[in-house]
Amino acid sequence: MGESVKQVAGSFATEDELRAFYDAMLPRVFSYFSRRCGSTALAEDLTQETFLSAAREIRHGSVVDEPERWIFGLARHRLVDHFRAQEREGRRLRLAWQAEETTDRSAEARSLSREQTRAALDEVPPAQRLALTLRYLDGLTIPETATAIGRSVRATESLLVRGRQSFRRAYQEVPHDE
Amino acid sequence: MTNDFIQEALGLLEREDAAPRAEFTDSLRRRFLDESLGVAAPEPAPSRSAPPRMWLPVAAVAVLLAIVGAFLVVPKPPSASAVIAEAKANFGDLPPLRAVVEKIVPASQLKAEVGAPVPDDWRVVTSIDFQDDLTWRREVLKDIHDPFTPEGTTGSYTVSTESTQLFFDPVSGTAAVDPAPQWTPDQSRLNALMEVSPTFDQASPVIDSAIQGCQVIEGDSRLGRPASHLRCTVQGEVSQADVWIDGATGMVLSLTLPNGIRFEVLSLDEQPTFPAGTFSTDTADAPTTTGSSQVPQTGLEIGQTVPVWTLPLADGGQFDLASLRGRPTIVYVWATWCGLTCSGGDPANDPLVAVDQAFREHGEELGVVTLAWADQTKAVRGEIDARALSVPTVAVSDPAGTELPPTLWRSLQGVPALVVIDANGRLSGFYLGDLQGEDIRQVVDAVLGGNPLPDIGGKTQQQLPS
Repeated sequence: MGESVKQVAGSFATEDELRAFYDAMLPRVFSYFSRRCGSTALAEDLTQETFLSAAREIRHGSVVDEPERWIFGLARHRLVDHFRAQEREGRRLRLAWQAEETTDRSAEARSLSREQTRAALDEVPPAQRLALTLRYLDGLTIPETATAIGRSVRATESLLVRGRQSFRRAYQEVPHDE
Repeated sequence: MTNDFIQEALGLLEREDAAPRAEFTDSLRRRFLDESLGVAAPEPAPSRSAPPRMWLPVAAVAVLLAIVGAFLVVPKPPSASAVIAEAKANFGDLPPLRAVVEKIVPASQLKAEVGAPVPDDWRVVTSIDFQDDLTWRREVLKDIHDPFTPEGTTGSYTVSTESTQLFFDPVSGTAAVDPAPQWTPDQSRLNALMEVSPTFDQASPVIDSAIQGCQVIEGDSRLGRPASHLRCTVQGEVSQADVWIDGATGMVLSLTLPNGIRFEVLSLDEQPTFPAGTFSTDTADAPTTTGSSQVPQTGLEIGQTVPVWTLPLADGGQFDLASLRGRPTIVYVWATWCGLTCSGGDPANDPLVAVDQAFREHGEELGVVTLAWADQTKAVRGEIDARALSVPTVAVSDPAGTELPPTLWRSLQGVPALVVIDANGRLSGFYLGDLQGEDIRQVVDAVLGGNPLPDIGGKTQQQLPS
């Protein structure tokens, strides 16, 4: 069985190699999503989609020269798809926000900066959040970010400007311990 | 707070520890290995009622293929870019070219794209005329307006590279010619339309990023021309894309994506007859629109009189732009299908609400109107009601802009946009691209205060020199 893998996936000579690749990459891909989405369930879903699409490509004979870059490329596509879907839902969500204006901000004011960042980021609209994530977490350049999200450089710059504004605003509104 | 702050704050997330659950890791490992190796039962939820006999031949074929695969030496498939590069190497001086391209989008896909009910097979037939180099052709290909017509299913255009644009609507049988010179593609518009591009080079990331690798299969001519027939793996899809690439031009002649979207070049005329003056200027220096500092020329320059129009209001009646003469005026151009780009995404900073506020608070001294572009009146009314807007809103249903004076249509080019007109009816400013409520308020303040229009940071201000 391991033999046949060689024919369909250039860089995976045996099933063991494929398994090793999975074991090395799974926690990292999961962390990638978990840090960007903040939800374990969502991170699991996106991780699963990533590895299953990877499996389909392997089975269909994609030549993978740099497996690590490749799997993270697939992961990034899933992330982009996810935020796009969220954006499409946005209009309906917006109406929901208008209906219930108050969010309970007084809850816990345990002021770990990471928690504030997470909470603030969750407030940023999906398209802006995606741009911020790719630019500042994935470390893409602006043109690379533009390509990833399928927008022009100028539209992406604009999205980043708005994203930063939204993030700052949200960050200031998140409860702090001074 | 600076960008460093954002970098630092987001960097905190990168140091967050998160480990997947063991049972998740184990079950996914099994599925990943099974599906990679093509072993049985890749389906997550096998159909309860599927007749077992139907599965046998499929499984047998899969096993057979796996066995055969173990002994075959499969050559490394050429990448799509290698095939295109080879086709491009055949280029000499490019003759004029006319391509008629058809795009077919299944209703399910289109619903996902626009979030609105659409007709069943949505078809676009586009006729494109080219002259000059490949880059220019590609740019023009990208610049074809995707004539999504909510109330019709077909639209057709002829776009020439210079000097003349001819818009043709086969539904009404009408055509509009706009002979104003100096038209160049505009990046923000290209961006929205990129998906229509029947080339799949870097110019078309929507297609390019999805296609992973291609294998040449049998077939060597299409439309009577030498062509390569490819099967390409598409990311995240089990089935493959079917692609034909023209051997002489590198253009994609046909592309069928697994999601059902299909591009088809219906005809390719290398020696088309163009009306006199179609290519009246040298296009050799045509900009490629890759830079971010390019200021696109539009049909209407600052200081020129904005043509007036009378259009139907979304809630009934007509609106005459001329009625606003004597007051400075803002026209906010948007569309319901434009989604968050037009509505700002943030309810507190919604540009439509800001425009409405300007109307309610300054309607005496400032003319305010919004124009919903290529939109369905019903959908527009929905948005108006959702926000309880009182500002007059006209709905232009035809994306080809035949309801608007051609020069105005050319100036608009995309949504969202904000057109600023002075009290004498002359264009005083033009913003194209995402605008937030606060941006609208800035512009309104400047207009009311008689101050120069603001240069809105990070946004495109297309204020042409007078």
